[in-house]
Amino acid sequence: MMKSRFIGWCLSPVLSVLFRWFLGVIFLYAGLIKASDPHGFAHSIYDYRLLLGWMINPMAILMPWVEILVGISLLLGILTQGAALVGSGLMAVFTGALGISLARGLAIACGCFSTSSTAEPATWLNLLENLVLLGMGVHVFLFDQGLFRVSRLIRK
Amino acid sequence: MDPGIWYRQRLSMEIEVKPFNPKASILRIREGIRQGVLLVALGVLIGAGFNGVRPSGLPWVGAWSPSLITSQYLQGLREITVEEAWSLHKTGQALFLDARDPMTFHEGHLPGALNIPPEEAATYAEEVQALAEAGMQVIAYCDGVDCPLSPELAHVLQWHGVPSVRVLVNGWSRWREAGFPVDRREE
Repeated sequence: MMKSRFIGWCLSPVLSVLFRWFLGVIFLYAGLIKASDPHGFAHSIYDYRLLLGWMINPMAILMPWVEILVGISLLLGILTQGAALVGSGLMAVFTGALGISLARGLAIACGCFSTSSTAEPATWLNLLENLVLLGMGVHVFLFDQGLFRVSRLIRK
Repeated sequence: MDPGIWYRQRLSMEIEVKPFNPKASILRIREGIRQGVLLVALGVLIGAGFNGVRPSGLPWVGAWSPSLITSQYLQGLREITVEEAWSLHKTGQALFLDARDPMTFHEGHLPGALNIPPEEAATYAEEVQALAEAGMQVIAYCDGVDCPLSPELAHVLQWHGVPSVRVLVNGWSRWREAGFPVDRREE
């Protein structure tokens, strides 16, 4: 009984809304920081040593705006499933890149919420945070039922 | 209506506990991909447009090579070779500043080095300045050809009035490759 209630709570769309809002704020904040300093963000990408040189600038120019749109969509509940899918995809890529860098022993800044190359080096804790955010994104994708969606609130 | 009752009613209306339905899941995934493609396309358009009109826009193709990055970092600074640093150390005139994080520093560092990450440079600037004025050559180093920490440290120290801070590029690796002694953590 307790177990099924717990599972029900874990799969609840209410929890999904909380995750959606939380992720929305995170993506919007991270995207705005990166979009405001594309040079710094390009440098953060370069520090990971995972992309070819010609890929770095286009990535630095475009990715922050995808993050911003994902953040806005999640906050407002517009195109939620797409935003959750893209957000989860981005988190998976960030987590993978961070994991590879940590495994290679590169002492580089995470570049998650700051574009400074001299910020505190990323740690396994950052990786854990990313995994939690990834889990939230998957939860939103699977269980969101449009609760507190802006279009619904306006209609009612 | 009481806001609490309204809220509970809304929740009971909105939450539909549905059993697992493979068809619905496939539809959800399909819809997610469709919306995702739309979001990414929109992000690409806005990003490209904004980059085109902003004065500090980034060029689409950038030159990213370790040597270029290093030369950018070293603007306004003087480099020092590992041999010069060694001979200064032998005569007791070298003050090594390790700009890496404390944990890496404690694993091993250049002999007698002080650990000053760039964000702590201002705190130690006065002390370093006194040593520099007493005749020590301040040498900042970190690890990696394009490591930004030691140039950053050197810039901050110079800004605080420390004269002539020199940078030993890729110092930790080059020092060890040259076979010079290092201070290592005692197990």
